[in-house]
Amino acid sequence: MNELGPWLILFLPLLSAALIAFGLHRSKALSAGLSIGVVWVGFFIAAGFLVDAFSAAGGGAHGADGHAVAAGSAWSIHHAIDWISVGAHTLQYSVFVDGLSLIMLMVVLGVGGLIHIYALGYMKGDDGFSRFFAYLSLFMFSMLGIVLSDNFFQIFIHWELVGVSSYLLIGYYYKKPSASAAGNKAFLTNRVGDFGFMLGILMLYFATGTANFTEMGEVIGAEGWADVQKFSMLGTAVTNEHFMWVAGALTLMGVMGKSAQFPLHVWLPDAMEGPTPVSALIHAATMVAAGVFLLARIFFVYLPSDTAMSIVAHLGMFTAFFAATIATTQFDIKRILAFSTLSQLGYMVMAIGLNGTDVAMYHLTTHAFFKALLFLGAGSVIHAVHTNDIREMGGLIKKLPITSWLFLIGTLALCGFPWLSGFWSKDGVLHLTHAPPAYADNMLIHWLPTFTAVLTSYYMFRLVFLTFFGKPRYHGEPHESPPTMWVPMAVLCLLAVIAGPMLFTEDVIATFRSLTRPAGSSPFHHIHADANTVIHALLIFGVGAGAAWVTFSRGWVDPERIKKALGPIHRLFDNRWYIDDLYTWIVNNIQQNFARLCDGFDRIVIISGLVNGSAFTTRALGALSARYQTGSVRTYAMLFVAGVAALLALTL
Amino acid sequence: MPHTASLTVLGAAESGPLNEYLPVLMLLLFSISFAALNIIVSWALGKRGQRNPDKDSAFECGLPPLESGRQRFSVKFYVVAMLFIIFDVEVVFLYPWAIVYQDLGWFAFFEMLLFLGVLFLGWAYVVRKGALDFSSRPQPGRIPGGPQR
Amino acid sequence: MPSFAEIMSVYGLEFGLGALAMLLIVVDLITGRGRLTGPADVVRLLALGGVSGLLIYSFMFLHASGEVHAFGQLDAFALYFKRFFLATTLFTLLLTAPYEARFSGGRAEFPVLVLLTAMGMCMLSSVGDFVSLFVGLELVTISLFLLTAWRPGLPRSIEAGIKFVIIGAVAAAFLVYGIAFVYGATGALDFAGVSAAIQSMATMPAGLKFGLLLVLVGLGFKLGAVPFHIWIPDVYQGAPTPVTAFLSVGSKAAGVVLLMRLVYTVLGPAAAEWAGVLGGLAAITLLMGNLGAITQTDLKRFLGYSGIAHAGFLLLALAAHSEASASSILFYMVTYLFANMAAFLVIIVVSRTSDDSHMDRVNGLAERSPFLAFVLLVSMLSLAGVPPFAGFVAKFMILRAAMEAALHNPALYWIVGLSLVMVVVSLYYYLCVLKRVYFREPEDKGVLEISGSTKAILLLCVIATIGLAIFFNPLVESANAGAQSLMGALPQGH
Repeated sequence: MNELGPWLILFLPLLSAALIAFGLHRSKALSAGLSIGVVWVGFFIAAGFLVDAFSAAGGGAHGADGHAVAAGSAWSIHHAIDWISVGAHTLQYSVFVDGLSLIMLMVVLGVGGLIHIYALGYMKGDDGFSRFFAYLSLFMFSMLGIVLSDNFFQIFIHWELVGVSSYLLIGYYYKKPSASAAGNKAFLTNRVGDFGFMLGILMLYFATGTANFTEMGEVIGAEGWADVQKFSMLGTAVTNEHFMWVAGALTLMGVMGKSAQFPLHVWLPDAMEGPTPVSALIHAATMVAAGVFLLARIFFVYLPSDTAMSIVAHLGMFTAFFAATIATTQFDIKRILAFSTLSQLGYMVMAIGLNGTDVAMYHLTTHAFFKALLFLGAGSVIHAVHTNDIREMGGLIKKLPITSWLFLIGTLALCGFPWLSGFWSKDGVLHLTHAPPAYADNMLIHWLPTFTAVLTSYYMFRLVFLTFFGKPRYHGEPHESPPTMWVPMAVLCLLAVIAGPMLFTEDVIATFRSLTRPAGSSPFHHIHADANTVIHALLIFGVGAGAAWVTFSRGWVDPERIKKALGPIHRLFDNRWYIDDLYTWIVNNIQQNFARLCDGFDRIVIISGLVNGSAFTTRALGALSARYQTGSVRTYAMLFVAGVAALLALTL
Repeated sequence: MPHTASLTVLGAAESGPLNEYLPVLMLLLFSISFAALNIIVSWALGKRGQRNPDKDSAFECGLPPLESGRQRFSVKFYVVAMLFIIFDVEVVFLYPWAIVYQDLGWFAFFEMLLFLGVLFLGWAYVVRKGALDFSSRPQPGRIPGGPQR
Repeated sequence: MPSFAEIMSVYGLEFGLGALAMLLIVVDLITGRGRLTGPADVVRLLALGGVSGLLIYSFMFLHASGEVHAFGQLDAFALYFKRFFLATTLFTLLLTAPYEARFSGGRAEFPVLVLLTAMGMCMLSSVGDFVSLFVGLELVTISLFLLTAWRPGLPRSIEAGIKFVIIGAVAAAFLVYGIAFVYGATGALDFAGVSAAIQSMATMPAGLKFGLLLVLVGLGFKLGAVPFHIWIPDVYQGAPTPVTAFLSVGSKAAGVVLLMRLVYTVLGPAAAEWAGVLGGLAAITLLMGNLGAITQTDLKRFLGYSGIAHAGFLLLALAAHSEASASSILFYMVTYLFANMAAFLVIIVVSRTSDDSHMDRVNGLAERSPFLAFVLLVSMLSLAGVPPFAGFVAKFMILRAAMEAALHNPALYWIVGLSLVMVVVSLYYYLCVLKRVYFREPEDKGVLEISGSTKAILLLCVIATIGLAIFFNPLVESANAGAQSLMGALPQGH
């Protein structure tokens, strides 16, 4: 199974996508069944690996509270085939399962599998039902390729495939102009990031002479940034720290694009035009987490430079804060969740920047549980009231009790309410910020993430109060969703609740950390659920939720007055910090003019001059060369002999 | 002058590489003189001045010597001629084989058996497809080279 | 005196092909009952089964060996080409099935001749001396003369056959004359002997050069190199379409395999002097082939010119003269096989109501049969060398090898530059065909029905063309092995 398993996990979804596209699509039941089946088959194979991995790593995990576990467990599966060899360069296609990718596999396959089932109910009756499942399978293939890759080139290929399949999924309702526009926006924004990513990959390859993560990690780890001098291509020793700076920054652009970090975050809110299972799958659990996963994977690139780590940390911190402020002003239920996702991804990136890869991966895991739950809950609500606007909801707890309670638990988990999963993971992150490594030790890192956590509670409870409590403002008669929809939610809810010490006992967490902590990162402290931490968490929760309760539930404070009081700051938040407007302005005024210039050049010089000119010339020459083809065999024989004579005359 | 030239050739023949070609030269001379002799004899003995068109025409077989080259006649002749040449040339292969047969032994025997087998197959093919069938009954779907319709 | 077993170890496949051909004749004679058209289906199926069997046999049981006999060798290079020729033959026979109804007679003999041609081709990939070379080449050429004129009812076919015979005879005469000169200058007819003699000479005497040039002429005729390409357009157009496909792939490859053997093995280190000649031929072939293709209005003529242009690429790789370039030629031939066979099968289908292969036949093909249109798209783009199709990888490999060689031989830069310009030109004419397929109004709007077997063959070509662009390593490896064995045969390292 170790031999074949990873390949099955990777290629079954592709097979499913191909089968649905080339024939099975006529039968909805078969399409959906196949698509769901392959994900769960993959899940159980991966679960088998997990058992292996834990029994391999768990033996050493009993020391104290995890401190003793050596970083980077030895357990891994690695199969590679030579895909392309050109000269000395060999490109491999591989499956590589180590601790990090195993955790990611479990998240992607487990959450993904639940979302597949949910989609069965949500997409019922849709014309493109089979097409949807084909896209989902294609997406799973692309995503799993990222997770299972052992080198930069393979990851890049799947990076692009994820881009394509998410484009297809976001623009799934292609007849709706806003949906196809959102698909384009996501694709193009990602393209900007991917362009940088590609250049970064090439530079790293250039600098280290390998694209394999393990080998590259050894090279960079052994030599640091300043001394990476494997110039295998041109033989000149140009590589220095500056080169690595640019390479690292460009690679980070890839992360920023996929994980929607500032300033390439603009596509994520718009991407909510896609069907809700897509939002949950792509924009909560998997695709956006790919950036974080990648960052954890290529952690070694940034590790040698304190400044680089510090930049990563601050980037994450800022995105977390920035997205949270915007979330406080939105009214579209899915957009609020989207901005919340942005914010949480910021936390993860920050944690990696603060040398806490294991914490980041833990938060990624718990976040995948509760954010997928929240998205599915939002989908259930939208399914019932046919609107996204929370101002047209209210009081839904009476009509949709299951959804409401599940949603509420998810919210509590997200807000870090004690002993729910979010409490453990978020506390881990906040703990990092309170005692950061020396290179990022400043007031902002200390307190801004904590304040962001307060904001998180505030906007989430604003959402909860406006949607589920208070006076009903909805139209029509909402009904609870079918079991295919709420059962996956319930499973996710269960996970979101127990993904703390109940599921992740100390041993498990220690092993988890040893699995997800790449070599080179410093071992980190264990989460302590002591009184201090609980009070801290309750305080954060209480302030945020209390403010929301006062304003949106009791109505003691008029939101309009806050708006007026905050004035320009509110407008800034409401308009998403004018980032989209800035981009629009740049596109309209700079890029468009440049494009016009290029267009003119293209029309006048290229098309009329070069293309038509050369076409005319070649046609004329072609006609000329056809002249000797007379059809007379005498001429042919003569030309043949003349050719021989010419050859002899010229050569001898 | 011709005498000295031929003498030089003959003189060189004792040591030079052209030695072996002397019989060829002799054959050439013999054939030329035979043809010339025939013409001379018929010119000398024939009854000149008693020619008429019938007498000049080809007798019984062959083509009229002075005529348009584009005369139409049965393609059958070509087929037969070609088949003759092909089989003739292939059979020529038997002569060198016969000379070295003793040295080569069984290998050569089976080799020649194979060769003759292929040759026989060719002959069977020719017969079966009616290429040697001289009747001119119209038969639909004849291969090219079959009897004329 | 070589033993029978030794001969069979090298020429076993050829023996199999010959025996199969004889068997087909016997079957035809016995079951034909004197009728002139035997049971075509039985004969064709036997031929197909036999060739498939031999192909499978060659993959499973034949192994390259380093042994060089006086009469030839079965090195990795020869084996690669034998498999290639068998595959080409298989495709030709498959292409014949939908075409066969147009033969007025001789349906059973057709596969026999195809098999004999294949026998000659396979033999050429192993030959070790000039006499066998000539015999093999004539076996191929003469069988192809007959196949070209296989449709006596079609004047164009007869005309093509006669033209082919005359120009072929001229070329063969040059070849034999050249061989005679090579023999005269070196006193040897086997490749090893000639090679040793060349190595021992300080400079090549004019007589030897003259002889080798004439041999080059004879092989250039097979390859379709300018100025020995003149027969190609007329013969391609007139020949029955499966034969045209066979000519364009198999016959060309026969020229390629011999040229490679001669340049790499016989000339050996002396080949550097010949880079100029080969490069010059490459340049003019690229130029004339591509320019000639632009104005064509007949699909088969068009593919003929496109084939000349491809010969230019192969000559460029030969001029580069390195292991990488040899390997790239081997790879190139396979991509060319799939793309070309697909194109010819499409031509057979679209011109099945008439024998006219005018380009108007593909007008609006996308409406009549989207599948055929897609196949033509893949085939044309692969021939043009557009990613993600196999033709791109092949062209890329040749250009890369040529660029590497250009470090030692700067003149190659010019030819590489020219070839790049010509790739653009070729894109123009390939796209012109596709424009007809996708944007012109069809003359006959009826839906084109295609049989399941045709569909399967086309699908195979498409999958191979795309698959070889994505997953080309296994083929590249066996091409490398072939190239290595060819270079390894050099008396001294180069």
